[in-house]
Amino acid sequence: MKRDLALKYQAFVDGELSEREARGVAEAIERDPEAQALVAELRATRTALAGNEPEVTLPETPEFYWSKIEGEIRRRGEEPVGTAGARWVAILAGWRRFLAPVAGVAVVTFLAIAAIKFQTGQVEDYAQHLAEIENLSEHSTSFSFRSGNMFVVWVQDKDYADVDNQVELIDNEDAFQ
Amino acid sequence: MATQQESSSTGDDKKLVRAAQKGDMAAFEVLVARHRDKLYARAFSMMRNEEDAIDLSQEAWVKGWQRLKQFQGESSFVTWMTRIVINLCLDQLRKHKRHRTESIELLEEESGGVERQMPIVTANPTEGLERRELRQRIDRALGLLSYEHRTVLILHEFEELEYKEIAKRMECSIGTVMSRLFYARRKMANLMASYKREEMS
Repeated sequence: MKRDLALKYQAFVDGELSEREARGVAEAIERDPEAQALVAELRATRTALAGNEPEVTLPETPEFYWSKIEGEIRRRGEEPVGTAGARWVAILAGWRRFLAPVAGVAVVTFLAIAAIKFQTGQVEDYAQHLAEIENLSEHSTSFSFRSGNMFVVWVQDKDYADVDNQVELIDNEDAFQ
Repeated sequence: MATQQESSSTGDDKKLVRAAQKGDMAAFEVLVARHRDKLYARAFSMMRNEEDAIDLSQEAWVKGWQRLKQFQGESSFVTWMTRIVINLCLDQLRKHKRHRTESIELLEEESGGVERQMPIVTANPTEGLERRELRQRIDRALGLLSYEHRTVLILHEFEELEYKEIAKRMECSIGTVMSRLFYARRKMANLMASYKREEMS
């Protein structure tokens, strides 16, 4: 008997064929004693198995079995809270990893901008602002310079240059004038 | 009478399920107590190992609790739970399969024709057996099948799934299901006949 034919007989036993196909197969079985024997065996096996799944006894006490289930449910029940907290920590940790490189890039960028400004002569402007140096007396000197809308006057005691200097900041140049 | 009891049990299950869906753990415990043996038996049939069967049946109950709100009552609660344990067993068996070689039975089946060389069992080898004895023999024979053949037999004969559904669950073609089922049945018939001969001799 060909394999395909045998599988078709089995599908017939299992009711997996269309009505038309099933009629054709039933006729073929009627004509073939070997097919009849095979179908009888398949049916007997199917009948013997149906509803006769082996019975096995749980090898644990019901209390112990349930306690493990309950424990796991409670553990996982708390999990979403724990998981959410852990998730935020992980996210922050993830960001923290980028903190050092980002800071490095920021420093490099700042230095680059400063270098560009220095080379393009912006520092010269500051030098122009610092040009107004006035010796008020033999003990003190003042520096004054402009920056945008700000006018800065720096009065310095020559004797205590490191400690006694005064800085006056006037926000509005017009107000100063 | 049995049908009445079953129907009553299903009715009681519905009330318990509704309570459990609202978070009543005690109601869920009653459901576990009612159906734990059936679930464990199904896991054991598939895994043939006590430890795996306990772990997987317990995992099924935990998953059942977690997904309880998804249960709409299209099938009975125990059928729904059984499907969960079957899926867990299939996942586990697939994981095991990655770490082992193909069984001799599977190689025989794939080479084709071996099951057709088995003699057709003409006298019913299970006739006249007490149910308990029949179950013992079925258990013994199932233990000798490869997991692929055993699983397809369990899903078809015990779970009453159609070829298409079995193929979907086992992630194979319908042709493979038919072939495995055919081999498994023929092997079972011949094993049962050999047990009958043992008994006679």
